[in-house]
Amino acid sequence: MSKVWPRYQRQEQELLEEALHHRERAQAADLHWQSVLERSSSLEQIVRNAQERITELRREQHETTARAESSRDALAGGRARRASVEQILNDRSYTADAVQKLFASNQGRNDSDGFRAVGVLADYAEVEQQYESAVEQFLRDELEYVVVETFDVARAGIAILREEVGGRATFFVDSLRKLNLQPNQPIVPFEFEKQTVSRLDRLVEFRDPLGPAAKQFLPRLQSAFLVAEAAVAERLARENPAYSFVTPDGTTYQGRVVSGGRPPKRDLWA
Amino acid sequence: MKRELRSLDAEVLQLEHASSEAQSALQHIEEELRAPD
Repeated sequence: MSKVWPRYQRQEQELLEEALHHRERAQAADLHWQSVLERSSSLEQIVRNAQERITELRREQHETTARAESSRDALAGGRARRASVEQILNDRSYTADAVQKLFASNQGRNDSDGFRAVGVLADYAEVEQQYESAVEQFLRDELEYVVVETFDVARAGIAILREEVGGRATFFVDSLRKLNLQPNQPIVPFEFEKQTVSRLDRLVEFRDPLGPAAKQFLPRLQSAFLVAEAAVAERLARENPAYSFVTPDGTTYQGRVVSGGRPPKRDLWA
Repeated sequence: MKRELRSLDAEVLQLEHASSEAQSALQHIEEELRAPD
């Protein structure tokens, strides 16, 4: 018995040590397990956050794409409007502000709005180069008449000027083809002199669709004469106050009224 | 008319700015979506 006892004691000791060792390992494993659980939970949170961010970014992407497209469209529209106004300014730099605005407004419309300008009278007028300056200065108002097809269109243009763009303009209704007009020869109450070049209506031609009949609706053309010298123009104006006399530099004499100045720097003729 | 052109110039500039901002925001979002982390 005395020999066996120490062996039992040693075995018990060994078993106790082994149990202690396993307890420590179990505790370490438990700690590790806790740490892994925490890490897993943290990773799940990171994944959830990333998914939420991706969803948010997709929504932002969708909204921003729509905004970018709308900006692009608005920009294209803005550029087109700008180009159109610039084109009108370039094409019609000689015309009054109201007429330019009318043409700008005309471009942005469809036919159902009731207004459609064909052009301005200057677009259809043809004058020999040597008389251009005189005729242009004498007819500066008439050449800016806005050519339209009917009186209704002219009224629609006036409505636009009144209600939208402002200013005044004169409309020339191009329904002349329906009229069977014969060229008339107004009676001139004075003798043509050597220095009288021509009656002004003979120096201007109007192309289709206006044609020669247009002259009959521009009375100033038929009562004006191109005269080579200022002194002759002055005398004729005094003697015939109902008529205008224009010198080649564009100075106009009518009765006791003289008008003139520097011609505008522009190419009016089509 | 020239005043209108100037005002359109300003509008076009503003629209260009808005368009460029929207484009760069979009680019930024796309980069963020493509980023690895």
